[in-house]
Amino acid sequence: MSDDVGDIERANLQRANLRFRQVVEAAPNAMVMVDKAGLIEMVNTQAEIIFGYSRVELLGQSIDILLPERFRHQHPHHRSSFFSDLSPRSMGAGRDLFGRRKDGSEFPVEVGLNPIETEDGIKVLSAITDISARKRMEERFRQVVEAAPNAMVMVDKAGLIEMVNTQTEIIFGYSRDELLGQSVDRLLPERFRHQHPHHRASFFSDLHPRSMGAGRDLFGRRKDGSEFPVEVGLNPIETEDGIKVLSAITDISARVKASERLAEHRDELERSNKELATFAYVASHDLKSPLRGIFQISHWIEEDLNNGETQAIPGHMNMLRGRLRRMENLLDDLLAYSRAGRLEGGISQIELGRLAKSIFEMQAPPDGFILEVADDLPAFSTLATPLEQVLRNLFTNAIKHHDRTAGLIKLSGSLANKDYYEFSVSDDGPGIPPEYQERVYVMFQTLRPRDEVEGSGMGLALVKKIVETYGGKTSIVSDGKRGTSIRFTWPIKIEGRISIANTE
Amino acid sequence: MQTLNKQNYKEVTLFIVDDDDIDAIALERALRKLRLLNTVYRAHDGQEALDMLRSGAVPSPFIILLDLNMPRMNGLEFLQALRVDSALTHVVVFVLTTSKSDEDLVAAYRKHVAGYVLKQHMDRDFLEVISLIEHYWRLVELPVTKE
Repeated sequence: MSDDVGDIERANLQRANLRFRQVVEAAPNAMVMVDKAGLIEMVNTQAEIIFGYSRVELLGQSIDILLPERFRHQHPHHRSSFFSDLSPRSMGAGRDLFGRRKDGSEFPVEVGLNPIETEDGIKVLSAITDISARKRMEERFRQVVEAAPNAMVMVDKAGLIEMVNTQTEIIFGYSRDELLGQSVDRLLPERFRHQHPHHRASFFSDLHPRSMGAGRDLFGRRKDGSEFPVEVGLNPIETEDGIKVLSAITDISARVKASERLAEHRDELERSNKELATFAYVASHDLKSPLRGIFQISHWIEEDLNNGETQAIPGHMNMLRGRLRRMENLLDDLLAYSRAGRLEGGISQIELGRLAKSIFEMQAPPDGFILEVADDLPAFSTLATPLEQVLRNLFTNAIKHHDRTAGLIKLSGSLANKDYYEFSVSDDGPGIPPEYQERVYVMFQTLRPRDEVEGSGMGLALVKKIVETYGGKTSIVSDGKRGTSIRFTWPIKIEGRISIANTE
Repeated sequence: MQTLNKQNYKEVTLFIVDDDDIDAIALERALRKLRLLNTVYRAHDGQEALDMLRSGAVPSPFIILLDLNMPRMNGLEFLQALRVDSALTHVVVFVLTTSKSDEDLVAAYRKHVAGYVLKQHMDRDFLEVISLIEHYWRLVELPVTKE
C-alpha cells in the first residue's frame, strides 16, 4: 500500500516536475536555476541562445561563467544576501547589469530573481532579459537630444532635472552636474518660480505636446542671474519610471532683437513716408502760393499802367518783393528741414550758457528783449551745430511772436533721466492755446497769417525733427494766456546716438 | 426758421476766408471791374470766420469763399464746424484753393460745398470766379436765416 502511495506520489511529483520544466522552457526569456552554491541546475533554450552556450556546457557549472569577470568576485556575496532574505525581486536595483556570452562579449541584462523550494532545498530561478535593444534606443534618444539645436531639458513630475544636453549647458551657463537632480526652477527668473509648480501640474493633467505659456513672454535665467527671452516646447515622454516632460528651449534674443530693429526701421520708414507726403502737399500749396501772388501782382501792375493809374504801383511792387522774400525763406527753411538730423559738424566741448548767449546776440534782438540763462547749465561735449539750430529757432520764435515791445526769455536745464538733459526755453509772450499746440509742430503751419507775421512755419517742425533725431522729445507748456515754455531733451552723451542718426 | 426772399439777390454779401492779402485785394479789384457793389467781409482763418458768423457780424444772405490752407483752423476744419452747427449748416460755400489734392477735393464735397475752384484756373484774376458767382447768386435762391 505504502509503496503504491509512494509510487503515486512519485508519479505526481514527476508530472509536476515535468510541467515546471515545460513552463520554464516556454518562457520568452532566458531562465537559469542555480542552487545555493551558485551551480547551474537548469537552463532553457532561450538561455542557450542569448549566452551562446549549449545546455551541456552550462549544467553543473558556476553561474559566474555567465557574468563578466569583473563582477564575479562580488557575486557570492550578493547571492548569500539573497538567500538570507528570500523574496522575489529584481537584481541589482540601480546598477547596470551585464551578461557574458561564450565568446566573451557582454550585453546589458535585466534579471528577476525568484526563490524556489524543491526537494533538495531552496534554489534561485533567474529570468534574464537581453535589454540591448532597449539600451540602444535609450542611447539613440540621448544622442537625438544631444544633437538638438536647442536646449533640451527632461524633468520628472516633481520638476527635477533628469537629462540635459550640451546646448542647455551653453545657453544657461551651468555645467551638466550642476543641473541633474536639481529643480528646473533654477532655469527660471525668480519672479516666475512660484507659478511654475501650478503650470507643471496642469501640463501633467492634460498630456499633449504644446508650447509653453502661449501669449506670455517667457524668460530663461542664466547662472550669472541674467535673463533672456525664450520659447519653450513641451513634450510628454513615457518612460519605464513614469511620465517625463522633455522641454525644448530656444533662446530667441536674436529674433526679438531683430524684430525690434525691424519695427524701428518700419517706424522710421513710416515717418519718412509721411514726411514725404507732407512735403509734396506743402510744395503744391505753400510754395506755389507766393508764386501765384507774384503772377497776380504783375498783372495788376500791368493793368494799372495801361489805365494810367500809377498811385498803387509802389505798394504793389513792395508786395511783390515781399512774396519773393517769402518764397526764398520757405525754400531756405525747407532745405534746412530736409537736412536736419543728418550729421553736421563734429563733437565739441560747449558751455551751454555761454553758447546760448552768443546765439541770442547773433539774432540782434530788439531793445527790451533779454535772455536769462540759469547758473546750473551744463558744460558738456556734444554736437554743437544741431543744438545751436534748436536754440536759435526757439529764440527766434520767442522774439518774433512776442506781443509786447519788451520780453524776457529764459533758458534753464535739468537732468531728465540718466541719459538725457531737459532744457526749457520760456518766454512771457502771448502763449499758445492748448488746442493749437499739436499743430505748431507741423511743417509750414503758422498760427497767424504770413501777411501779419512773416514766417515759414518751419521753426518748431525743425526743432522737433532735430531733437527726435537724437532720441529726444519736445513738449509745449502754455495756458494760451501768457507765456510759453518749449522743453526738449538732449542726450548727455551724444556719441552713442551718432551712428543711429547717420543711418537715416 | 428759414424763409426765402426773392428780392434780395443784389444784397448778397461775399465773405472771403483767406489768410492771403493778395486774394482779398484780387476780389475787390474783380468786383470793381464788374461794377458790383456787394459788401465784402474778410476773415484770415477758420476760427476768425466762425467767430464772425456766430456773432452775426456777416449780414445774411451771404456766400463764403473759402481757402483751405490757413493758420489756426484750416478750411476743412472750418467746414466741419460749420456743418455741425445747426445755425450755420445750410451756408453756401465755394472753396477757392491752390490744393489740387484729391483728398482735399473729396473732403470738401463731403462737406457739401457748392463748388471747388482751383486758383490756378482763374485766368489773370478773380474775374471769372466772380462772374460765375454773380450768375449763381442771380439765379439761385439762397436761404436767409431769420434772426
